[in-house]
Amino acid sequence: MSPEAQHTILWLIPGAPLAAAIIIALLGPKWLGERSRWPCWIAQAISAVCALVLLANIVPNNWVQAADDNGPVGVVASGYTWLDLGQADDGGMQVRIDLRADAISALMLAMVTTVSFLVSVFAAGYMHGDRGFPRFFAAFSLFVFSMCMLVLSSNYLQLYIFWEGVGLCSYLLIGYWYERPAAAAAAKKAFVVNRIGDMGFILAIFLIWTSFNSLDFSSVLFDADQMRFALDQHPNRLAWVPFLLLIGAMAKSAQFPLHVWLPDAMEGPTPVSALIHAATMVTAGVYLIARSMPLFMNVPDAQVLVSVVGAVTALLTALIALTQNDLKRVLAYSTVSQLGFMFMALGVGAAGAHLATAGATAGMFHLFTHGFFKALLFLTAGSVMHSMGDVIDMRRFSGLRRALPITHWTFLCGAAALAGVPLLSGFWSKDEILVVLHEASEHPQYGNYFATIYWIATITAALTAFYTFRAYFMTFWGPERFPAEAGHHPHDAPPVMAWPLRLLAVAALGIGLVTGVTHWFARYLQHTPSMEPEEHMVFHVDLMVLSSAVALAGIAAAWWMYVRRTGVASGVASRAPFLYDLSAKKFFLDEIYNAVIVLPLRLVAKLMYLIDVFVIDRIVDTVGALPRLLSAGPRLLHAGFVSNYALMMWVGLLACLGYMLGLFS
Amino acid sequence: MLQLLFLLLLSPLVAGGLLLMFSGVSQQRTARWIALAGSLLALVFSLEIAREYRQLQAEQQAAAAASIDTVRPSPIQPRVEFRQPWLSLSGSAAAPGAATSPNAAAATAKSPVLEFHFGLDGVSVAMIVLTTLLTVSCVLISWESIRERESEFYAALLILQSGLVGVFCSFDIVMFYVFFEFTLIPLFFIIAIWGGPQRRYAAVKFFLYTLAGSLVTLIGLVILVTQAAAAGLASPASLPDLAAWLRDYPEAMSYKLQVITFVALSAGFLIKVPVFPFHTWLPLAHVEAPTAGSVLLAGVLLKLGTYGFLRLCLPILPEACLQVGLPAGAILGVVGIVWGSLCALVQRDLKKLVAYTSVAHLGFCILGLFALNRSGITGGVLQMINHGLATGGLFLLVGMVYERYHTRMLDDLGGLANRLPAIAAAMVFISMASIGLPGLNGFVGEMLSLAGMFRRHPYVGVAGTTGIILSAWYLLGMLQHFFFGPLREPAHGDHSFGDMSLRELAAILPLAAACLWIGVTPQPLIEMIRPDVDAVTQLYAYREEPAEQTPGEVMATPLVAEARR
Repeated sequence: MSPEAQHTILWLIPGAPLAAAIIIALLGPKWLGERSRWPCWIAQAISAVCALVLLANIVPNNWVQAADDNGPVGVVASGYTWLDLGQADDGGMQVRIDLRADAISALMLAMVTTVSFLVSVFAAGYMHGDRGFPRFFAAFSLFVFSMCMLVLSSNYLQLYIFWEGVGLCSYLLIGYWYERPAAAAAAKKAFVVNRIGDMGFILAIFLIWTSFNSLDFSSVLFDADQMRFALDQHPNRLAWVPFLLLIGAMAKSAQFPLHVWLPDAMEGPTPVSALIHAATMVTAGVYLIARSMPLFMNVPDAQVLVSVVGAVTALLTALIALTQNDLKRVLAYSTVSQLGFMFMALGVGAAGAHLATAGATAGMFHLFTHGFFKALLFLTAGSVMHSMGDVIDMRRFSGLRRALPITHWTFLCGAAALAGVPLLSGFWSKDEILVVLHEASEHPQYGNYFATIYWIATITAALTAFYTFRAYFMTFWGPERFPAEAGHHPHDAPPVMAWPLRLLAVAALGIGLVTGVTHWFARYLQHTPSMEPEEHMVFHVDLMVLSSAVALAGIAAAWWMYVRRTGVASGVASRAPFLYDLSAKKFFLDEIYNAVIVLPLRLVAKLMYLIDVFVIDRIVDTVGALPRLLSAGPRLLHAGFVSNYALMMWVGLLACLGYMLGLFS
Repeated sequence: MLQLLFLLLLSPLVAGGLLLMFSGVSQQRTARWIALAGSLLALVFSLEIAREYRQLQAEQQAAAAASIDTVRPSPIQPRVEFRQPWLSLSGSAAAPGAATSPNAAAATAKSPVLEFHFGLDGVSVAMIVLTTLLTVSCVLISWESIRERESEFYAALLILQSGLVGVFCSFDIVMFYVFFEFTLIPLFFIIAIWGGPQRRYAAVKFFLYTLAGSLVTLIGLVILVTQAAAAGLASPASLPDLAAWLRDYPEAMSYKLQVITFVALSAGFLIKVPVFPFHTWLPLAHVEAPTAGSVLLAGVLLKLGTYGFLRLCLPILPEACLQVGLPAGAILGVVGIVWGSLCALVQRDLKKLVAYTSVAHLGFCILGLFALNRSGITGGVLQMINHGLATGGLFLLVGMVYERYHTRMLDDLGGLANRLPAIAAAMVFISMASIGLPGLNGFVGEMLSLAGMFRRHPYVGVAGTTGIILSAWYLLGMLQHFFFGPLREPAHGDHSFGDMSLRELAAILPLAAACLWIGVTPQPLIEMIRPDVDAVTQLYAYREEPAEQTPGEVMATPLVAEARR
């Protein structure tokens, strides 16, 4: 393929959704109406096809060619100069908007664009009849554009630009039903919490800029000489960079303690939750860390912290998910928990450079499979909401498996994949994470950390299986009950919604077998520059057996508690009310943040404003009043009475006389 | 181009004069058409100036690249200029006739003279275009809301525009100061006559407070000019000559005197910007001013302060800027960002909230300018322009809401997106620009300002960066409470109005388009201002952090790098 054709294809991946967004934004509200779906569908389809071409053809060709002529790996399609202040070593900064694709971005794009396409098809059915239909599809397309640009970024500032770009789309789509106060509040919360992460990210960028004098991946990440040089020159600065990047990644990927925005984000339409808040945007943090692995490799402590953050998040949110009654919230917490799994894997590089690539591979692989099955789960939840008249509280319906057969079967596929049922996609990726954690626990220095994390991961895996199937059994088993909002005969998903579900179900079942067992994913990913190819990849049968057993035990427990003996669950809850509340009320984190951060800050703000009005401004007014005060005395002399003036004249005359007579000398 | 500049200076004055002359006679309603024509004409002139300027810049840069000219230009170098002596300071008459270059001026006039010295460089062109653009929006937004003494109102608006353009194209101290002060008068009347209930108090406070500061600035200017004249500078009031003189003979003024001059000059600028804690006149003036007044006040007038720093302090008094300005600017900038943000957070009046955002946003600008390096100063200049566009836009939208409901209080309003979707959409857009969302204009300026300060003092940079969290908090909180949620309107009053009208769209659309354009491709704008910023930065180049060997050099000499390891 000629370079020009390659560049065109590369640009089409983000370009098509952007064009769709512009078309829908301009024409949608007035003319297109519900036909806005077409530009969006076509654009996502073009984007997905181009991404698959990139994955199958362009990137492999590129690394073969690079190996032949010893050139740099990565396909670059040049764009334009966004900012040029001259050479960076001279205090300037140079930033170009270019597209750069290599193995990791190609894999990520393939997942992002195919899931986007399927979700966009589903959304057209789901959003049917909503008055903001064009607005939804405009923001949706804009999101896909930003996400593709994020993945295709060639430097850190470009990554940051689109990092915030996806945040904007997330804001717009969470707050899509703006007349609902909860949606408006959730949108703001998501943006502000993400801004905390952005602060860390931009500071990391400043540090990279001042120590490397460049922001390009090619010189920061892929050039060992520059890295050594920068380490030599600025060891302290570079020690900070991974921690700051981690803050950015924690906010975007909803890791503890910055995860609080994601469950609230479920106020958005369900397709948005599926695409943005499960499959794509929230994984940007994982991508950022995997991409920046060379910077993390310098600081083992930061890597351990990545794993610890992941472990804490995974366990904490899995515990919260146990007692949630809102189906979408269960899925939201499970997303956070699974992202925690990815973070655990990303940090194992601390236990030896040989594990870094394996860890990144495991994390990215889980990201990849998770994207498919979690999108599926959210879409099926959306399908449930659609037929239940927007009711999502699992206590208000049950036994839906006969009324909604398609939804039921596809949900089961997704749930089984998430729970880690052997041979399904979640099983392979979760297993890889357990393997790298297990290997890392042999490290002399950090081994104990990773051993603990390994056990946390195993426990979390059991909890995952339990809460996933708790949701499944509560929704689809038991006596058939519908809420009043659903009407008498709830309908299963119409074809436009059913087909995306079926296709995603196939992916959830099979994508692990295709890409995991064969190690195709790992071998492909390790062509990314900055990753060392692994020599031999083996399966750890013992770990597999353990994790299978754990998953099946979780499912069995859920079956026992929610199908066989339905009284047990409430019995447990009433026996340990404190623990139950702790989980159901999300460890009171929202309340704690409110009491510790938000309210004090608002109080300080109020105080500052009072000082502003009653102290600073008062001082100004006082100074302004000074001339008047000083003039109070002299003013009396100018009262306008002739007698006064006459008196003063006499005084003056006398003074002159006195002066002339030399009385004052 | 100079003819165009004079046309630009004079045409609003002429239109304003016409309006005043016929104010008693003509139909009041025709006044706005005259004003619109005048402001559009000015906009066309300014855009043409910008186009020609870009052309000239490209030609001159090509020529400069070709020649091996070693003469260092002054830190302030207008690309086109007009100089005409008008007063000899030593008593003897100055040589008549226009001189076109500093050297010629020095040759023809031995005794110190005061000149009319107009010119244009990249920063002035950008600020002039911003001024004319905002004036058109101001005329459009006042179309229905100003109902009494219209001729006078529009006359004041146009005269104000002339004054602002005058500041931006003045390259000598006297002209600069005259225009700087002149702008107070029309705005004083705009606030005092067409303002809200407390307009008298607000106008007087605004006028006296800024005037008091400016008088201290005048002292600084007098020191500068007298020192230069005593040292034998041919044109002691010309900014380029002054800057070049003090750069080449830094010992001509003692360090102490430089610091005193710097502090005196700063007094007026600090109040004008306004920098914390001199900002309390601003919320009051904004709340009382009519929409057009607020737009020009926030959009351009406040920039006179930062522009003053950029024109007078940074290039002329580098040592004082570095020793006093840098720490003071860093602290006041950070405090201003945090203080302004937190005050904005608790406002219940929409307009006051936007007013406090100015305090916070100009904190970024101050941080950038006083970072005294390339990225910082570039960021500061961009922040001046971006803040003008975004905050101008915010005030326009606030005006639209106020015109409909005659209230701006949180207790009365909520969920406006249900009634006014287009205005709400525009509000979201402009707020995003103001928050500094990448892809819109605010980001470039903020990012570069912070990057510059981070390079200078990392911890100050970190402290300033908290502003990006706070700005999201207060502006998105504003959107949430005023525009989202269930609809809440005042119970009484006529609610038969519609969403954004075409006229209002015409007022806001150019600003929004400019926001998007600068955000997507900031480089053309940066190209335009870069030579001027670079000229200033060079003064501070050797005062930067100790030079380090760069990876670039290592790449060029791998053997050395090998040895180093």
